[in-house]
Amino acid sequence: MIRVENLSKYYGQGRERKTVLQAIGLHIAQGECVVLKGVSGSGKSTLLSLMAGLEKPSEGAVYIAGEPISKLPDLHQSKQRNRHIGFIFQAYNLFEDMSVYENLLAPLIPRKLPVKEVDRAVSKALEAANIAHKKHTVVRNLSGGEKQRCAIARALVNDPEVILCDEPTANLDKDNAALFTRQLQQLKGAGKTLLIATHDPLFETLSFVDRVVTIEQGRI
Amino acid sequence: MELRILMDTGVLIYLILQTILLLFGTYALLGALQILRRWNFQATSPRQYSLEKRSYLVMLVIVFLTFAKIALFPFFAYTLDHLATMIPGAMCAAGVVEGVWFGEALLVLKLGLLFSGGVWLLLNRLDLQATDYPFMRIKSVLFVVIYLLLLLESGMDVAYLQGLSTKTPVQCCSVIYGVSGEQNALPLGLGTATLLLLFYLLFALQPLLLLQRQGYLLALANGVFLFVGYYAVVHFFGTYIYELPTHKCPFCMLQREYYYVGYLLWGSLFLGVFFAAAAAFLQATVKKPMVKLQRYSVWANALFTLLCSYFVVSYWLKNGVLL
Amino acid sequence: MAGSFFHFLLLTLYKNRFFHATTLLMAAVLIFLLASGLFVVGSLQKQTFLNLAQQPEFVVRKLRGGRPVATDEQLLYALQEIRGVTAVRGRVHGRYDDPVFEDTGFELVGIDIFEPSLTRTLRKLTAREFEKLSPDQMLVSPAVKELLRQNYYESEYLFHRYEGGTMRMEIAGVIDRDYALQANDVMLLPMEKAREVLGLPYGTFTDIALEVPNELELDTIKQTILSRYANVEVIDKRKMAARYQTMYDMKSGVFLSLFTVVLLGFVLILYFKYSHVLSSAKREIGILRSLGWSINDLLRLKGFETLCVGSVAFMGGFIAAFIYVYGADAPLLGRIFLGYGELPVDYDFKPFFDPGLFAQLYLLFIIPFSAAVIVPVWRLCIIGAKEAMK
Repeated sequence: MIRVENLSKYYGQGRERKTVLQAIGLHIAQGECVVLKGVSGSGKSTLLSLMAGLEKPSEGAVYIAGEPISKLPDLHQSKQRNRHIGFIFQAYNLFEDMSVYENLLAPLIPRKLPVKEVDRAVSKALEAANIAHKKHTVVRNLSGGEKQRCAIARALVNDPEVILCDEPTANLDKDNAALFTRQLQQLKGAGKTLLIATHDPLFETLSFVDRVVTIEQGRI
Repeated sequence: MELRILMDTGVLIYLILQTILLLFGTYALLGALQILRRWNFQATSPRQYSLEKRSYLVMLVIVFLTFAKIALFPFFAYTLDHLATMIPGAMCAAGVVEGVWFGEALLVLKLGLLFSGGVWLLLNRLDLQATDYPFMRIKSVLFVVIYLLLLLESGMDVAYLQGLSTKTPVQCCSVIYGVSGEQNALPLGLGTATLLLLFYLLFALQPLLLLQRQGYLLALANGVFLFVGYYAVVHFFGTYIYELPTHKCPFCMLQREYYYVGYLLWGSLFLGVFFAAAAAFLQATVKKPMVKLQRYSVWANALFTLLCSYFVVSYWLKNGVLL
Repeated sequence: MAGSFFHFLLLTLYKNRFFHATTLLMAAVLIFLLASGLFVVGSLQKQTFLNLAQQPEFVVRKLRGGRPVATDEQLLYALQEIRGVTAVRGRVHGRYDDPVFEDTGFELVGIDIFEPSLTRTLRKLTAREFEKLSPDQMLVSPAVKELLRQNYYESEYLFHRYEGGTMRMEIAGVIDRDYALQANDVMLLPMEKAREVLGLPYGTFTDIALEVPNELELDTIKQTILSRYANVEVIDKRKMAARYQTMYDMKSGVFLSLFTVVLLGFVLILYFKYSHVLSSAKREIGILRSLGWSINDLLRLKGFETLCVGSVAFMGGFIAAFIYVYGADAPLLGRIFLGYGELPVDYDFKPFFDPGLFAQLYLLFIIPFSAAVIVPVWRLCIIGAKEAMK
């Protein structure tokens, strides 16, 4: 599903060049759940960005569902990201002033779907993330756990094959983190490919995690 | 430039806007030249990445430029029409255009500019749909051409407005196009009946060519249709718009008295020809038939033909006779 | 596609409403000022031309030493004979300065009660009162009436005759306010009385008005008169029209040039305003990018946003100006363009929507407006999603 080939990322040039990732190679199969473990600054979120085509590699390539996402023009890169990848962030990154429904609308707009299908997709994602009862609540008024579920719903609304999570439990208390992991398990059950970048040891103990990859100073 | 002409609301606004567009055009030109020199989509260097981002700015400016020019063209025609009140002898834009020897050439240049801008927009669409920016170079070269045309146009605009005089009388449209004028005769010794026959035949031919997917022939037919349509309007259909058999003028119909119908009429003809020609041009570049554009062309020409015929039919229904 | 896109567009507009509100307000005020100015000039121009249309095609007057002098009836009869001239009328009018009112003069116009071919304007001016006017009654403009009233001439006025002595005239009524622009300081009195005040001998006129209905004959007739009489001047209505046109074009032109400078300032403010967008806007862009929005999608969103704000501001300013000028008769601003004559002009602006002017102003506004935000918007849309979300 995700294939990373000889991926490097530097910032700056010449002597001031700072290497963030160095010749990374990684293969994640469909339906696999992989935990990317590393301290902060180890380059794990850069790797996530590169996988989603949010950043361009200095060397190497990333393939998502066979498409070389890192080599495509922005329009197609965005389309790939929109279709295949759902993001869940540490800081949720929701639009605080908008309702849950409106937050879920955002990823659907580039697809130019008819209104009926938009509503169907939103309802389905809300059900799956167990937040349907808060559909018209403004995000600011949600609790931390509800926000997280809203973020999951948004990640699911386009029915992507891959879910990328960046420190998903950092802002959650114990109970909500447990709830979150249960939801992840459901997603895995539904056949999604999961990649979780975290330094939370909680994930290493989970039964549905297939693999733990440790990243250190830009190397695996 | 005479102060009177410079101080005309329309002229002043036109010059201000044209200056802005020229400045932005120059800005985009720098980007386009950079792209021409350095573009390498395969590279993974920061320079290429920043160039890709820059190409969006260039694109944005050109889109802005083209849309602004599309809006400015009818505006320019409107302004000429208004200038007719200042220039002795002119009753409509016809006299004003003829007031300077290259007036007609300037109008043609402006149309050419719109045409190239439109082609650029279509090419850009195709470029974005592909996965490796295949037309980035062609687009940039085309823009350099557009920029040169824009420069030429701006120079000619100024020279044209400078050449207009509120003292020397010009000819009015009835002299230029009318019974006593020099351009009154139809080309190739055509009669009105033959002209109309040709007009409707050419129009009927277009859907057939569309169905046969004959893109190049369609463009050719449209080229001929442009001329035939022009003469048919000036010599026949126009007289029904004015409801006066001697009133032959392509410009008077742009005026308020005729509900500005000229803008719609000439606009639809231009669009029809534009889509057909652009389809042929892109077909040659991309090596794929542009059926959608061809279809637009036929629709636009249908609107044009319908509009022309409407005036004749409505006159006949109202008065029971033809002119 | 349209549905959810515009739904989201409205949401983001609403979300950034405070940011947009200031832009909107500035732009609307700007458009309001410009549009009101041009409405006032346009309206005055239109009225002037309507008035002019009522005027005779030619006015002929005799010259002596290059100065106009009274013309006699012989010339009037001779002009009548020219082919193509359908009506000829001797006119008596002139300036009368009352020694009591310093700096203020009146325009005296003589009307002949028995003359059927009054000019079309005069006929309209006097339609209501004319029939019942007696030889020692006169009509005045509203402004004159007010001025006289302030000086205790409630119902009658005392003229100083040219030959000496005084002449009492009763103020029988006022002329229509619609003609204020053209006849603000006018007094209409019987022709014979006007001659007495102005000092014209019996049977002479100030000038002669000719009516020529066929446009194509105008030049021929003018040439005929000039070649037949060496000592006359022919005032051509077409020349007058051109002169008025120039005057009004210059007025709008100067106003517009000044406005352009203001517009430039506005564009700069807009540029800096959009360049220093809040970090929350950057974060918004970053989120949308991570959700799969392409740069194109973002540019489209921002483009529509700009167009919406610009167009709403434009419509707001334009409509406000329309109400201000045509509804409230442009207090303050109207003064600038009407000018302060000796008598204040009380003018009623007639509503007139000119689609050409609308389009002109819209383009003049929206093109620089969009131009100002292009570069900042691009810069915002291309920032990396990662740095935007920090």
